[in-house]
Amino acid sequence: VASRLVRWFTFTVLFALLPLGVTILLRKLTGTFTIRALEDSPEILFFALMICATSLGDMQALRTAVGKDLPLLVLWSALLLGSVFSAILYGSLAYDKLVTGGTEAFQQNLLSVSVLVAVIFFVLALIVQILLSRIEKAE
Amino acid sequence: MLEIVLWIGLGVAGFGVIAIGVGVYALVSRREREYITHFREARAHQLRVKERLRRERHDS
Repeated sequence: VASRLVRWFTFTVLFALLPLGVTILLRKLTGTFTIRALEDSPEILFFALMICATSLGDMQALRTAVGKDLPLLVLWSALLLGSVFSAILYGSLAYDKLVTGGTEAFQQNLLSVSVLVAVIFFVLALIVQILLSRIEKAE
Repeated sequence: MLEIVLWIGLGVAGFGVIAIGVGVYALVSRREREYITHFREARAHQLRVKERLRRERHDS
């Protein structure tokens, strides 16, 4: 069980957090790190997108083998919705920047929603990985 | 208009929470046993098909 989770954590979670980590590090090094700077960057959304997309890919073989199954369908739909919606949120951030030059109130709310979406879908992806690792172990 | 996107985002997060509940249920009820049976059946079927194709090629 542990090996799959370690692999997932290393190659998916850490790599997905890399852009955000680098941004924060560079901001800290240049002394420009503020919450406002974080609100203006879409890295948290990339994290949610990557977490969801990877788990969707990992679930593919299971879904093909099992066929119609309600819990799997709910997990699959939620991950798909999470990945699509992360992209939509990124699009809205880009649109806001293009059209209005970046509205502070919108970006503040967007950051809160992005963090919420990222945390929820991280937990969901973790559950999916535990389920897959149990199957792998039993096989 | 962009505020609507945020509200939909909250909806998606809500669905994510429901999915977490479903995932926890799947883990607690040890549903993977059922999935493993499906996996084995699928693999056995695949092997049967491969074997049949191999035999057909051999016969022709």
